[in-house]
Amino acid sequence: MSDVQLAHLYLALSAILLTIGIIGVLIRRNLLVVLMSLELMFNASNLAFVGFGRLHGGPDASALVLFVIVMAAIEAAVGLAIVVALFRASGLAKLDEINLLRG
Amino acid sequence: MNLTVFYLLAAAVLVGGLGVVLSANPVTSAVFLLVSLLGVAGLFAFAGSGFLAVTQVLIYIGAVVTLFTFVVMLLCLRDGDLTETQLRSQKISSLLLAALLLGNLLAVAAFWGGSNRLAPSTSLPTMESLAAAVFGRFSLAFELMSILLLVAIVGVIALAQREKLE
Repeated sequence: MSDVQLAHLYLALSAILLTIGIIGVLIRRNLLVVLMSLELMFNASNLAFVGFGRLHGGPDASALVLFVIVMAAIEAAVGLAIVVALFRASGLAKLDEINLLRG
Repeated sequence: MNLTVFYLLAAAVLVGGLGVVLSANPVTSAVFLLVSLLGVAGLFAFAGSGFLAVTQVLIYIGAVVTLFTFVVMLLCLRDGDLTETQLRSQKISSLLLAALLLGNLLAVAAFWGGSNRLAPSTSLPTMESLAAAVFGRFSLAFELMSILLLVAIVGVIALAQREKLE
């Protein structure tokens, strides 16, 4: 089992996970589940980074993954704050019912 | 290098991901998300990045999943909020699009030959080299990330206190 083959496996897994996340964003209506699917997509990108980093060695991929994790945490915090504010204002948690900018 | 470990972790990641998308209740989705993120942490450790695995467990499972669970309970969704109406055509076109993308990505993953511009090295990233990279070559990105964190904190507080401000 060489490092190149392992990188291929990580890439394939990352592709499948990204597709699952995209399917979640496209077909689910619940805002919370859509945000969770976004987290899945962030993790798919991290898996690809780690696979390439394993292949090429060095700390660059780890540094990038660290930044992506921070970004995902920020995204989750801001997204969930928006969901809570939206639910307080309108009582809605489904994407297709939220169709007013100010109402 | 034991491939069985990799396949077990990959199965955990995929089962968790499918569970997030397919389960009707957001609480179940959050638990499946936890399974998936744990699997990803295991894969980080499998690739030799122990620090990233610990960071994943601390930040994702310790903070993000907890936040999701809190918000699910805070919203106190009624039964009617859990049923989702979906257009059949929309579902089919979404799945078609996703299948197309998956085929593309898997073809790239299968036929990609590995670049030869970067010399492959067998040295695993150590904590020292990671710290030197983050605080050295990536120091601008690090500073920008801290500013982004500050902006996000201020923004979230402003969102949470909007009624008081108005």
